[in-house]
Amino acid sequence: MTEGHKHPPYLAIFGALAALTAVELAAAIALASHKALLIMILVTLALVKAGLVAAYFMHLKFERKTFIVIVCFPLLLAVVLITALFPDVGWMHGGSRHTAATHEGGATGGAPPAEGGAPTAPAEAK
Amino acid sequence: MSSVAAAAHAPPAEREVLGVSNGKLAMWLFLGSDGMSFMGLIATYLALRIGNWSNWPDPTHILSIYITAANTFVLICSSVTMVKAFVAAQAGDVGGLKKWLALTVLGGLIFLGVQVFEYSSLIHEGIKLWDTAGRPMTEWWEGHIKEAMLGKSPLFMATFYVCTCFHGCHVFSGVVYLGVVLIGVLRGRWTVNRIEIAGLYWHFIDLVWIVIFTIIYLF
Repeated sequence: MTEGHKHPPYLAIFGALAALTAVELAAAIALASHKALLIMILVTLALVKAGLVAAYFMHLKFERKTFIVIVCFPLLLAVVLITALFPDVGWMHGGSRHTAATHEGGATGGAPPAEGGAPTAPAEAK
Repeated sequence: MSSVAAAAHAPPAEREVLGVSNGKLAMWLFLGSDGMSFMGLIATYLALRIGNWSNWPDPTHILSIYITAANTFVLICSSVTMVKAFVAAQAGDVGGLKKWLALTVLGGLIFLGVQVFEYSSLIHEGIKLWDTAGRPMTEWWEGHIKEAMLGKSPLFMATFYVCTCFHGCHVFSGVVYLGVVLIGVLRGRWTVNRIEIAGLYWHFIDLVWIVIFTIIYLF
């Protein structure tokens, strides 16, 4: 941080952080049955709060651009990390739907998964 | 001549690259890598949470979100006292610096105390990582926790403790770190740069808690 610049409005930022926390809590209670909307609101509020802390309390707003880019780079890696895990999540969801389908048609006693089961069915028919 | 002597005695930590001191750059690089450690845990939590979407217990039925919201408020307050300590340090106000640093340490201690209380009441109600008596998991839970947990994924308990405890260990380290800085101030051995670097770590703890509180307690 360079010398001689005016201090950021720390108390106003503190007020904003406290108010946003209260809003988060109220949203979590009021919108408990609207999960998708709740998650969108909470993620937005959390990002705003985290941004306020980094920009003002950690003085990132007053650093050089090159420095900001360097220290924010891990955020990009974090997005890559979460995105890379999404195929696994999709596979888990696919798996649970798949199990539900075998249970619906469950007259066969439903032991093996359908990929294994499908080729054996014609063999039995012969 | 005297200025040359003063420059020769300037501590190495005050040298600058990219407009910041070496110490500050090092702290930011540490925070970047530490942030990746947290992201690993958070990403794992999200993957497990979304993968078990239908049988994940409602955390607001198990965790005391009002107490934790108050605890979040304590951590935010301690961030403000830290920033006040930095302002006092810049102004050369040693009395103010001591007072605000001590209040920041106190805020960290209160946060840890509330977390210990939270863990102990949750463990008492059966939300724990393991059971030494080897009983079936359904026998761990008591009262309203049992209703909230029956048929739900026990991964909730593991991810809750791992994420919040990893953060709690950081708060503990922060309290020790700030305590050492405070002792330095009491002995008259401190620089504005060192106070700012300690502040960066403390604000980072606050920042991470904002994310953890949102995704673990409120979703």
